[in-house]
Amino acid sequence: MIWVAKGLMVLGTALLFIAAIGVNRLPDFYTRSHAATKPDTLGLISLMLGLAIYDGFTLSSIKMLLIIVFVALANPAATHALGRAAIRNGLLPVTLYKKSASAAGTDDPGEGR
Amino acid sequence: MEVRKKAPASRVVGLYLFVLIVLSLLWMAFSGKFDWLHLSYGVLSIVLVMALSRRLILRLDTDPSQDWIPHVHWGWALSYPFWLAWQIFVANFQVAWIVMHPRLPIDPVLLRFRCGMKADLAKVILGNSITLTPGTFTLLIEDDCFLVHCIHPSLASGLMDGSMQRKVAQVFGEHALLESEMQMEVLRDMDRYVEEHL
Repeated sequence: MIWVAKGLMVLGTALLFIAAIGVNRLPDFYTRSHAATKPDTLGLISLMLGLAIYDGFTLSSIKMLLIIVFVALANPAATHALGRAAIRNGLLPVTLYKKSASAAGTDDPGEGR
Repeated sequence: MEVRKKAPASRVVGLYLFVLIVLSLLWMAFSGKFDWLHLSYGVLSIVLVMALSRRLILRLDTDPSQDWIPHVHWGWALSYPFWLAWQIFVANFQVAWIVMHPRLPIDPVLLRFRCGMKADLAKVILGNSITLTPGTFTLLIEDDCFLVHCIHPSLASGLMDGSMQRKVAQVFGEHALLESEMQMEVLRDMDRYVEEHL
């Protein structure tokens, strides 16, 4: 059981790390918000689940399970609010990711006009 | 601003009681201390939270076109989170793979489709599920028309064939649209779309 907990914690931190890399690598606001929110959700869920199992059945493990519920509710709502605000204010998504554009060094092809 | 129907007093009291019980349980779970000092802090903060969010609580019951809790099929509702968790699990690794791939093989598109659901709660659940599933996130919901940003079309297969919509419709006992009725559009020329519609 302790190894399950440790595995979950390692998986969680790895996913959080990949999410951070994704925010840096992806080209525009919309694709970045994918990386900023999605692997984060599963990363946090598995991290908290791992900690809850590691802790056994105590009050703090119940708190960690509640954190999972709140993150699963609040994260998509916040992402939707950001994306809605962006598209309503006319921020253009990158049309197609062009290798030539990235090679030429245009930093933000998705910037609004 | 349309005039909202007043909710009957008994249901308002019931709603407040429901919120009170949920908040009290949460406070006790989070504090874990049951002496008078901590409980009185709890009472103070619960009163404050309920006073600040009273419009939100009442809003739950004053829209005449909506049932507060639509007709939920509990069997489907209990199995839905597990199905969703599996979807999130699988799709997460697909996004992680895209992010870590040296060539960054992304192909962002916008999807637009109708879901045909009436209950607000059903649309909220569908929108949240889309956002939680990696690779897709809900940009706009207008009536029953969804605008979804998708990092790669292969990650949106569950949306394009309507299986996620059917799952949510099952939970709320709503009529799911057929694939032909969804008017699924895959918008690649996003600049033109944004100019035309926004």
